[in-house]
Amino acid sequence: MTDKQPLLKVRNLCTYFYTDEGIVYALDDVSFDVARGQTLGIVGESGSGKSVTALSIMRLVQTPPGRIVSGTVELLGDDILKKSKKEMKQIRGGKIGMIFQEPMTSLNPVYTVGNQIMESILLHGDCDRKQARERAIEMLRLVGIPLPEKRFGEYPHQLSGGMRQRVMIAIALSCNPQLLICDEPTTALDVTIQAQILELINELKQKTGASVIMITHDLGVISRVADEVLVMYAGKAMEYGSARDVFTQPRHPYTAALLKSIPNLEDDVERLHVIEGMVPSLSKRPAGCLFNPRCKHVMPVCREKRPALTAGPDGRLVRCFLQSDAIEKEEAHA
Amino acid sequence: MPEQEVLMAVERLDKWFPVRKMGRARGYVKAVNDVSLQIRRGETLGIVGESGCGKTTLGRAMIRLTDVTDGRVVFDGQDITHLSEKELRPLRRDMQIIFQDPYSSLNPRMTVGDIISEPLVFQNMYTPAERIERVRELMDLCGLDPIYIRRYPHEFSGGQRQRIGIARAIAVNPKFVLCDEPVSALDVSIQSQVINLLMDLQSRTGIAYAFISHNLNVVYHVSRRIAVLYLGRVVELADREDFKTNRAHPYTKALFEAIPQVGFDEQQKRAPLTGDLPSPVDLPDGCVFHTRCPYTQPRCRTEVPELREIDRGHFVACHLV
Repeated sequence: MTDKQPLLKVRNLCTYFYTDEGIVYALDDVSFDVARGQTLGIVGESGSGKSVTALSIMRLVQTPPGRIVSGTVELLGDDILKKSKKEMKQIRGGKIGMIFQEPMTSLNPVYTVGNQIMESILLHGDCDRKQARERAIEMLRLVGIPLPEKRFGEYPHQLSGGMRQRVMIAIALSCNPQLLICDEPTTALDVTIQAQILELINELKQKTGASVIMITHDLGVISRVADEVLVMYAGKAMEYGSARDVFTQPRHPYTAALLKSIPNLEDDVERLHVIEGMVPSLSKRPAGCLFNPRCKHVMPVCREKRPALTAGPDGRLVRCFLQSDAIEKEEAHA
Repeated sequence: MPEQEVLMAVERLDKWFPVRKMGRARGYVKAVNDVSLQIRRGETLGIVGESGCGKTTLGRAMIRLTDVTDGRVVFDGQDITHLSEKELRPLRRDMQIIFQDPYSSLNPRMTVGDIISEPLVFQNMYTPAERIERVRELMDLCGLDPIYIRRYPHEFSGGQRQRIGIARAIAVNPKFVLCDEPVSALDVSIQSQVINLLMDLQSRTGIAYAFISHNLNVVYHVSRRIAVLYLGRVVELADREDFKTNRAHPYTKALFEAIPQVGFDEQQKRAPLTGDLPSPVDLPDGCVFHTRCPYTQPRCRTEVPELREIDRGHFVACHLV
């Protein structure tokens, strides 16, 4: 969305899972850019494909049953889907860092936290153990852990949830990544701790100049941190544009309904707005627009044809026949 | 508050769990500390707090799913603090619970019909034929199609399972239902469906709810009054409107300001609370919040603040208010 070359350019990414019950279209023709120093928020409910997006970029989709069927993921013009396994190992944790949701299970319980930060530094950096140790302690200090020398020798179970997530962030940032992917980084945390962690991610982003992809189901979190937002539903991008515009003037009925369905301290309503029905099964998708069975503005055409993601005059992309008549091309891999 | 209006009253309740080392109690996790509150008939009391603040333990003590260390629980005019399991049995008809996790709280080997009718069997209500009728009626009331009566829980989505859990809880026409994080495990678009269902059932049948959640937006939406817990103590208790305009306790203020709201008008930076929750085994002296409070005075480190009424129905435990 910017003129300069974006840091990450994802085009027509499709990741399908081949199961006994048929093909699961977990990620279907998704494209987006992440500009340098910007934060892209990816928001969606469970099964919308937001985590699979992260896993696909990192090439961590379990194969089989999953497979990245088509598309490109360019990191500074270099397609990382074409990299060998060995090259990928250098990119993961090197140029791209990742923070997962559950800080309890993503740290190894039998190693000290210092050891785990050092592991990543030694794997990617050109330094000896002593330098790696110093760097690890420096990282712990950077993420705001008090007494870093002491914490260095402690095990994950000795730390609180918020502290563990800080350690995860320290690991992810230890090799100065250009891109940090955060998959629900604060979902398991309390609100006051969540506020601390979001603040920390923002601060570190400014310090290091890294770009961030923030994946979450929490629209509040996205609106606090994101510059741009990608709204996903059932494996497809529904709306994509600047976070401020999308949240203040949503154009897709799904985005609008989602925003209205969360209780809010500001607008006090008697009854919450409801999106009837549930997220469709990704192996038996409805014909036409994927949102049509739950959409309040459904038209006959929505039940037959798939709308294409089309740009409005201001560059906002929306996938809805209310915005444009464009029909999506036949899926090549169906 | 007139006495007959009060359905559930908790008086100076303590619940401590012993921490054993080598078989001997070496200390206590003081999960609930000197909590007093009341729930009126037909109203919803929201109970909020972060993990480890004792909200679930408090709820469980209210309906006597756990024993009480000290203090009293009075339900519908009757002291139930020391009743035995057997004596509690008839009372279970009037107090029910909805659990957080709709996956582990339904027996996977029972059909939906059996699950919903189990409390009816347990309480000896209706004849078997009437029970089936009642189950159909309940399913319909909770937005489930009664033709699914013979299906098993795994055939339903998370939101539908939570509806089954709700139908089970209201089957015996209780006066009080403890809702322990009933929507936390659900997707955003499903949460609002379940919240609306709970509120509809309340306006139809006059059930009182204790609604426990860490999600302040949700609690604010459903509750008439809200109690904020911090490390086992009530720090503020007031009508919901007061939490919008008149938050008094520093912790309440920090908690409400920490929730990310959708929208961009009010996004000015606020200093987030620093530090973690202290360990509940080793509670700080004085005010439990003084280790993280931005306004700590010497007095806060030594003296426990009492919960005082600063305005009609607005209680705060802070020396500075």
